Amino acid sequence: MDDTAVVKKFQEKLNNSNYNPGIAAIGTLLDQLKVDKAETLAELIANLKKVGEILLSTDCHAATAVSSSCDLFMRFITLAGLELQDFNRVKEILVQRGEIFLLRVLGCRQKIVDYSLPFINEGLVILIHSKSVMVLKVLENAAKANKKFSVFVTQSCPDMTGLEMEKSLNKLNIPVTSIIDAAAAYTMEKVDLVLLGAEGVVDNGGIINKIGSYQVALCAKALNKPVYVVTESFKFTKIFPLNQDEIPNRFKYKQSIMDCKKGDMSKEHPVVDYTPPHLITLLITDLGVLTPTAVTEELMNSYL
Amino acid sequence: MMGDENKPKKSKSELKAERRAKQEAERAAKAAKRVDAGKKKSLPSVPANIQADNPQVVRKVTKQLEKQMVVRHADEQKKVNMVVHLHQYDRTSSITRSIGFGKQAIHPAIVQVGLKYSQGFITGSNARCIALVDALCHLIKDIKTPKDKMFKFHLESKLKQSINYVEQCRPKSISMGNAIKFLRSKLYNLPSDITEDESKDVLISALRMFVKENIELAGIAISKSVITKIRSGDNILTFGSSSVVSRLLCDAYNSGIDFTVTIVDARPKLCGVDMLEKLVHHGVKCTYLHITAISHVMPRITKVICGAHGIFSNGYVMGTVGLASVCMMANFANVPVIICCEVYKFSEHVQTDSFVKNELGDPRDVLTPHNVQHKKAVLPEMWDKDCLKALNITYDVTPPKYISMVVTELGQFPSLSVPAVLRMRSKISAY
Repeated sequence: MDDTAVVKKFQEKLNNSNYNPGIAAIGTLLDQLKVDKAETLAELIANLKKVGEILLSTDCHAATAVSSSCDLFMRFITLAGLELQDFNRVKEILVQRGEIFLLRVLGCRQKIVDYSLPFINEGLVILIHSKSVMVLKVLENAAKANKKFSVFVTQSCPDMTGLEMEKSLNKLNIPVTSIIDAAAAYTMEKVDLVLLGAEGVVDNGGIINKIGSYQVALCAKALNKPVYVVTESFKFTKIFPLNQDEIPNRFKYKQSIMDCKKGDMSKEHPVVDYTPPHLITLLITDLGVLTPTAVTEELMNSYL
Repeated sequence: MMGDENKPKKSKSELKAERRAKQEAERAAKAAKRVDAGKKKSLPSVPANIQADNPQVVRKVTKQLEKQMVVRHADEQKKVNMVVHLHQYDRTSSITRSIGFGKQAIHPAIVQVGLKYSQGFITGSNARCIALVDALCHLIKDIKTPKDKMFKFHLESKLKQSINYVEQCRPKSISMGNAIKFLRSKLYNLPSDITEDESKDVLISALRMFVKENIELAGIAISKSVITKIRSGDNILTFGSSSVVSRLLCDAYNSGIDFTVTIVDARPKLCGVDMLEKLVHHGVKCTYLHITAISHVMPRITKVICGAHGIFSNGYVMGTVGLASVCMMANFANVPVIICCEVYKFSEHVQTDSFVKNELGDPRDVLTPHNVQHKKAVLPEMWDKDCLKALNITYDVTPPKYISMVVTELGQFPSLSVPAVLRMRSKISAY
């Protein structure tokens, strides 16, 4: 298995799938499954896990999404009854299930966009944080439905991806203003609701998202504004952090920086933070509109 | 002639119509009666054990118990107003003075375990459940069904009598209640074509397996799960004494993690001393303090790990009195609270406050000063005065917003997921 070939395939899929790292990861795993030369089920699963590790070791922007989608893919394909003697037949079944999973996952975004339409009403002022493809699609759909609303977007240091989001929204003719991260509390009184994406959804219904989301959610809670999170269901992950410190390092920092600093990350700025469930009003996913409590039940259903 | 033929036909159909109308009226009247009766029955019935202030209910319960040769434990009369509906057993009144001998008597193992509960020799949710299961195994082994009765029904009646007696010694805990439910369901599902000895074997081995799976193995699983959350340099706070928590802290120490423990204790039971003994004996670094001082230490605490008496379906946790205060204080200082509780202690009931259903201990315990050498015990001697009342409540209820995580043998969950966990467990096991 060639590491660079896998990474190249992943990058290709990333460009094709409209920048959705989770879907790209699943596509890469499925391709790898088709060409894999393993003779036993255990070896096959070990190979696929290795591919997952390789993907995580690239500097992909969404380590959480890649990790959770790989886990769920592995879980889904091995959930079938695989006691057949002929390994090729077993592989066929795995590939079939993989295709089903990919198909289901590709239809995620449209469902989420449909569920979220009732939440965006006329004349609303929405605050969003940094760049999120899911949030962009939701707002695009609402604009197409001729709803008039305005948006504030935080610029989101250090990579200033909020400005890219502002550009995309301008192209859709949605009135948008970019604000500096420090002005989130100042702007909160003008805002009606907060819309966040998520890189990962944790066991208790909290989310892991671009650094600054926790701050925005805290300000929203203090001023009693609802916080809605739009996210696909393959981002549900089995970790259960109790506070910011417990987010695994491989989600917080880029792999290249971790290799460089060799474990001492105290002077590094994390890329994501954890927003606890009591700050989130609702999660709009392809499984429906869920409260944070319902996320635990959904995770139980997928993992058991 | 034509007229004559017509007349009877008409009157026949008229009669028929009249009869039909009558039948319909009667049917409607019956249905209305049934609906009325149904409406009356649908009023919720308040359980007798929280109606201690209703003399009618108390008399009814006493009569029912007399039929089963169980003496009702006398209530200590001086109760604080807000808990008048709960029983407050008088420790000085004997429950075994009129215990009989003979066929109708209670099994001695049950008498023994009941006395141990009432005098406080066996405390702790798991310990009480294990002792009860032990006593029930003795009961099942020694029972001899008379020739005219079936084993199932005879055992059921003996069981009812024993449980009523144990309830009069000390109110059942949630763990004991679930163990009894398990035994009853096993008894109900016993095949009818096996001999009495085989039935006894089936029941006893089921009870032993219940204890092994739900208490011993669950404790080991919970310990493994929580150890992943303990890191070097942690300062862990625990409240009172819990068998699960002491096991997991000792295991964490064995696995080489460097952490310190702060044990918080509360009067009048002072269970924390047992916990302190166990941990210090094992080598864990401990600090011991009373609940009155937790606001001072809480800013330096990294996690709170406690056991629970039981968890209700709405996510509220029932624990020793004081647990709610510890959780609230931890929430205020932004410290995560981890509750360790085996799944067999999950209750299908719902409770939102600590008053509706609770256990009242002996109020005189609260009046004895902590340090008897320095302060004279004045208040217990003044107990007869009307103006003095004391409240010794045993449990309190913590809302789910103060709890970060509940750890069970089936995994780690937020507190509000209890109904989902119960559903999952019924899918997995053959309960």
